[in-house]
Amino acid sequence: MTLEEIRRELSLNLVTKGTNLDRVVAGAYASDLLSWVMGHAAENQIWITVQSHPNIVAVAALLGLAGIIVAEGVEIEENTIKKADEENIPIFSTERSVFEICGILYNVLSGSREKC
Amino acid sequence: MLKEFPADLHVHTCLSPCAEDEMVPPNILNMARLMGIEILGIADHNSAKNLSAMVEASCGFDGLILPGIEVQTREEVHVLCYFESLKVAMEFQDFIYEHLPPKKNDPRRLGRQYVVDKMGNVTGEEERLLIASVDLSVDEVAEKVFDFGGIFIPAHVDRMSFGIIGQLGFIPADMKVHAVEFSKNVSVDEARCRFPDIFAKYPVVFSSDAHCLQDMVFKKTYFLLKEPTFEEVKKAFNGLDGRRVVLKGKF
Repeated sequence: MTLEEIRRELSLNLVTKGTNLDRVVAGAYASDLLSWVMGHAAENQIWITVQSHPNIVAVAALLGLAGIIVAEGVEIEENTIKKADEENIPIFSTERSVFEICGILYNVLSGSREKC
Repeated sequence: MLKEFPADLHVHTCLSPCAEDEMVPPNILNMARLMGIEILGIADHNSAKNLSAMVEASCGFDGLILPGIEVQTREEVHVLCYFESLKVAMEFQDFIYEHLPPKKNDPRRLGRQYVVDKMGNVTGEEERLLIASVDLSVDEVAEKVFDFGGIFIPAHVDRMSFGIIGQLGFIPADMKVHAVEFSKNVSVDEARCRFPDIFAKYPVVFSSDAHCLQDMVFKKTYFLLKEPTFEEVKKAFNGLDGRRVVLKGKF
């Protein structure tokens, strides 16, 4: 499943500009403790968090994450968006809760795996 | 002629809900005297309301009181913010209070938030929830502290909870900090071994983060200064004129 398909499925708002949404997503990871994410998330996953500090971009770039969903209507810092554009890390925002996003995404991603 | 001044920059008073009732100005100052601490930082969670009592009580204290606040940022990072005077610390508190969520403390579950006078008599209780995150990023708080001419130190970075490295993975390269604080849970040698990059890049202090008097039995950080003043401490963090921080392993 690609980032663009996920964006449509979950009605996410893309806040970065010029980031590529063709990338295939391998799964998802949710946590707000960045040190924990650094140790546990895996390449090509999409990451769900309520943190919006610019460090989220560095963590995503370091791990090769496919993108970041900033949930619960958290306002995303300008500097974070700027860095994400530079690193080609798509950031999505949504009013939905982390729980809701994870629930929907779990079903959507499991379904797409069964089809393959 | 420079001299070493023992320091503990992170002591809570009974205003912090998690601190013991015994953390009143006379007790804290007497304990600091017993330990030979000559530079004493007072920092309660998100509030400065006991700083005036501490400063008043310290008129017979032979050393420097650094009035401060331990702010909890939006990212749940704890940062220590110190100011040159009580007046500036109170102005900074106003700024922090504007960004605290309008919630009330639950003393039964979270602990009492006592405001005291210089003798330690309870004169009131802070009703606002101090154990909360302000709606400000760690970078915004840092910027404000620098605007106020203060000292900015990320607290207990070795701790997974509420430390900047635990919450944000690492200290942002472009963030200005005067120093980095380690907790009493880690020895100087262990910290040097686990965090070589931090020791290479920033001045380091070890503080007791005392919530009770017994926690103050701790002395690892010394300042090499001409005299114990706010400006001299700042110079030590900036490595100016031979002023610097000295760490010792005992305790």
